[in-house]
Amino acid sequence: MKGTFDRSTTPATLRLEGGLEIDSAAELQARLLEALHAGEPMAVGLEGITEVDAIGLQLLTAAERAARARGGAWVRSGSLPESLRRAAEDAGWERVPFEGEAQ
Amino acid sequence: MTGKGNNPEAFRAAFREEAREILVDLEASLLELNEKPGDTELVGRVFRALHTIKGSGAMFGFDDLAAFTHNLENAFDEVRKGRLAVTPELVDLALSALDRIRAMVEAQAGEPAADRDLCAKIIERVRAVTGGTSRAAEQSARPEAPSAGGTDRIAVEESQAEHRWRIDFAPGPELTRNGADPLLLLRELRQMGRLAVRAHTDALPPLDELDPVRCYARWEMTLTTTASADAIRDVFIFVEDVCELTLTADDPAGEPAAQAQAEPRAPAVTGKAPEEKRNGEGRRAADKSEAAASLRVPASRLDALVDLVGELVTVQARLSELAARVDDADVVAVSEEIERLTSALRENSMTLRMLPVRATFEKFRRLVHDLARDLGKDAELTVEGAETEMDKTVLDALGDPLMHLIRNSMDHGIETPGARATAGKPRTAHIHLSARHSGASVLIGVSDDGGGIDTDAVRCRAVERGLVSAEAVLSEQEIYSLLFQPGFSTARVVTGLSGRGVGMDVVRQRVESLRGSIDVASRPGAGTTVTLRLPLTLAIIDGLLVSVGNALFVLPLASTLECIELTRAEGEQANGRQVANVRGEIVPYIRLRQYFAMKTPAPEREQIMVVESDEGRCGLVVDQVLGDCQTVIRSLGRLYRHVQVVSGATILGNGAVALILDAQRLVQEAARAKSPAGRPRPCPSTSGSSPPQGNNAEENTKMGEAGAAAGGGQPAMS
Repeated sequence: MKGTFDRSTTPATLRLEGGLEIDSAAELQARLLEALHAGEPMAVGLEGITEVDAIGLQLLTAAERAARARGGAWVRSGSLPESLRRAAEDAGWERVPFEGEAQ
Repeated sequence: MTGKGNNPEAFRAAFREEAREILVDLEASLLELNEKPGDTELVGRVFRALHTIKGSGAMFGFDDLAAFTHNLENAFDEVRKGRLAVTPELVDLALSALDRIRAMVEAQAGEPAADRDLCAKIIERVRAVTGGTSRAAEQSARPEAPSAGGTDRIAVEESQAEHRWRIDFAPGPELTRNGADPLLLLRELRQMGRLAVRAHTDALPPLDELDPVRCYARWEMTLTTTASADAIRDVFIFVEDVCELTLTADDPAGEPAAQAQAEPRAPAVTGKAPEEKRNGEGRRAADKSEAAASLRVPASRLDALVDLVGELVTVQARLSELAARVDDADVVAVSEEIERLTSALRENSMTLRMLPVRATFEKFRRLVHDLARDLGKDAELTVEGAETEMDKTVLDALGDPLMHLIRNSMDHGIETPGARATAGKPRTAHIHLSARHSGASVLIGVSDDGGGIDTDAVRCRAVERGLVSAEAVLSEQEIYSLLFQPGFSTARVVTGLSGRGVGMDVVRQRVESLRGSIDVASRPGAGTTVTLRLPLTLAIIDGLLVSVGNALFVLPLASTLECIELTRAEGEQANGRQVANVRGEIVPYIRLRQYFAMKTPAPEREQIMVVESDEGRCGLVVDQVLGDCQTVIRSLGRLYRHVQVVSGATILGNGAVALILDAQRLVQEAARAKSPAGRPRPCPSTSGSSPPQGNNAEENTKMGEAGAAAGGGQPAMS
């Protein structure tokens, strides 16, 4: 998993790449919190995500909820990766995280 | 996680533990199947075990293993469908495949998992056996896709009728931490039929509060499938301890009752609640998480604990001694309290290491099966007292001696089916393994109903090899003990199994190093029984401290029954016959003073310690009983290894040394000495004079050297 901030875009983009899985769960959580605490509108780039497990789904959902609770729902930049869509479907997840808010 | 080899070793360790257990069951099932080829329930069990190993192996990154197992699973799938018969060849093939699977399970990360050529050969043979009948076999070994094959395979052969199941699945806090991914479980279920799944994420805490590696979601599912409840439950087999799982038959009205009857466990099976599991948290060595009512602890930690308890017991003995000397009520009170606690601690730590012998015994089923095949004999292993518990250290060291004894029985003891039939015996021979407690010992018996030991052949061979002189008069027992001499073998032909004369010698060494002893009983034509007498525990025992003259001895408390007084007058009344009247029962006794040839005069009043032995009740006469003591057993070393009646020594609180007597052995030796073939017993301090060794020059030299090296120290003895 790699999480990078791209400040050149407006709003700034948190770009997530690689596997969102238990091995990198702590790092993913840290990146998401960082983005949340930046206190500005954010975009999330999910295109580079390759694998997602139940833990990854949880973290994305928690981040999505947290951002919305702060009144600044994040928008998605780029397309929704198939791996994320498939994981959410297989898990019977309420919705695919960041499904709606395309930029 | 994807389970593609990037798992921490800890996750794999958890899989290994489980897989080992499944493999043991699988092996037992296969061997049983060999006896009962038509048993469909056994076939189902074998199939499910293979299926579980394959599925979980893939999940935990054991891809080679999953691919390999897949082939075997296909073969048993064919068997389940009735397209393939169970033959001894198939069972042998499955057993050799099982060995490969086991090797793959044990292979460490990064190591080549197994002998690829051999695996390929086995796969080829499995495919040849399954032949063209198998549609599933065609899609060969792709671990990531046990899918399509898995689906319709299960669908076709289970009960045919579809049922709807409601599955409630709530992962416990440890589930994901242990390396499992709920998503993979759901995907596996999806392959079994039509799955409707709904996740509940309401328990998900805010982002900054959640534990990133814990799964907070739970799932509600409906699965419509032809698979049985067992097959569904098998999906969760590796996580059943760390989740809540409820499986309910959810068929339309009218059907559930029928289903419930057909499947007694079906209506509602709830896994253990995750709450129960948290107690163990943080105590696991490998991955700081453990989630079951029982813990897996590395044996080395238990050993360290027992060592420490041993030290504590010794120090506590010194404290008691000191407290008695200073005669201060407070010190005595503290000392007594510590004694009580030490005693409880010792008992508790000892039970931690006790394991039933079952697993060790069951291992030999396979050995007997393989040997019977290789030797062209027909034999079956029977097991008795498998629940008997003994110290893990002893148990671990027991594997080799038992293997040699069984090999020896199979090779020398048991006759060919033809010879058995001629002798009027059933064609199938029996090897019987038994275990039982006897005082502070465990008796492990290896019996066969073979030809028995040919004492003349043993004698001739021993003379030939220069182990005894041609004129020596030997008792039966002495002849048997020749079998355990280094380099002794009566087999004229060296087979791959035995006849090299190493095995039985190893048995003796091993058993002696465990402070155990070997007894042999044999009847020509009827069979042989070798009994290993092993201490229940290696470290610490409860004992009674007794004195004879100025020598101190410890008798294991477990072997003593009672203590009665013997006055000089009573002793004289018996007219030299050493028997006492204990409440009307005649109990023979042994005077330790006399037995050990001690010169000190006997006191007016002596004590008879009544002990239980295989020969019945017997008394040991000592001067005084000083009290009970916790005893840390110290080995006497190689020099005294032939001293059968002393099982070790212990250091008392005041620094004095006391010998620990093996009461059982003492009575036996005394009884043997009285029997016509026996000879007077030597004093234990004149070690190394037991008959077979006495005739072995080389052995004597070695012992002489050992004696010099040990400084010729003798145990405390008057």
